[in-house]
Amino acid sequence: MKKYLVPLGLILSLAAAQFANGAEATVSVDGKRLPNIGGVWIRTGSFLFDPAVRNPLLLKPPYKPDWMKDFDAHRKRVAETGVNTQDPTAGCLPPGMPRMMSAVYPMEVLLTPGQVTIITEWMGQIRRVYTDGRGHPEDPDITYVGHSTGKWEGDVLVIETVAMKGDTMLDQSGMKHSDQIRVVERLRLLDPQRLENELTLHDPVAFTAPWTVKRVFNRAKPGEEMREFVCMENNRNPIKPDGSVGVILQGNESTPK
Amino acid sequence: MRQYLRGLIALVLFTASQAMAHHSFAAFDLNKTVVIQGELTVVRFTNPHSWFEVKVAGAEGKSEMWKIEGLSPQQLFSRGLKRSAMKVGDKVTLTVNPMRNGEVGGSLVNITLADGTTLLGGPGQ
Repeated sequence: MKKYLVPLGLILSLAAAQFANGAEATVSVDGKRLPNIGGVWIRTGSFLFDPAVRNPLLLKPPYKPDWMKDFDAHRKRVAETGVNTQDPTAGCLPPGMPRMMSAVYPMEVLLTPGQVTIITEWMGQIRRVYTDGRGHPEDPDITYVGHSTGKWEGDVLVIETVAMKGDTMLDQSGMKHSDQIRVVERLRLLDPQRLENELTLHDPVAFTAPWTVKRVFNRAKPGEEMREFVCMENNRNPIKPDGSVGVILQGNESTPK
Repeated sequence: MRQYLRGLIALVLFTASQAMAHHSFAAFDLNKTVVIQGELTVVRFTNPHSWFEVKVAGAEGKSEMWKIEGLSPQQLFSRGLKRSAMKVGDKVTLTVNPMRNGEVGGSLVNITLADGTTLLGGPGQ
């Protein structure tokens, strides 16, 4: 009996016009009723690219042999010495795509005609996902967030992103990728309070095969808001001249009035 | 009992993870924890990380100034911390992962506030 109650409860809650926290279950955009993926979302799972893995030594990127050799040497060095030389975000550069989609900071999704906008608290980055049917530019600018187009396949928003910079990392473990990387995301509501993002990385330069992971986000509780992010407001972890990430304990020793 | 249970949960959560925020946490010794007790001298709810300084009484009347990096303000507030619950002058107990290089400082694991409530303040999720 109990077994049936759970799906029944799910159906009832999906059928409700409003979510418990007041958000509408569906929204009208571009003449279509769409699942309301809008709102503030909090990541679950590990902060690494693969949400199921918490230890960088256990990550299994489908790297080509020479890329794997470099990454293995790097992660072994970090584990042994505590010195990380592959994290540009420590110097306040943006994580870029796809790393920004696994941040410990929240993200906000906005649905408007012709565009889905994803704002990440981390570094205040903005992804504009064009849903107006346009394609990628023939000669796109290469940026941290890349160029994104999206289309709805039923209740799933499928986003394709290209033209990302090649000098960002996939996550804090220091996994590199090339500027030929292409990211496909499938965003859908698992239930009113949970958003799933299935990410697939295609990188013909670095990988032997695509790499797919699924990450789940929880809808923010009422009162949980996005905060502004000014990285230099209190960055205690700048990159040192030797390229490693440091910790500065001295300086700025006061509580603002 | 409830408090111990909460502490245990925090410990388990912590052990299960070695995460944090915008940068690598390799400079902190994540396999070691230190419990410090003292008076808050600096409280800053800033991104990328919160920042606290605690004056800890040491031997022979000397005190140590501990400098501690914590979760982002949004993360702390979502765990139930009220901005007003940490003020300069408050007596607090903090569990931290100390610096690997021996400097007096670390990364916040959990906080016991002046009113006795404990919350997870560090490498979460």
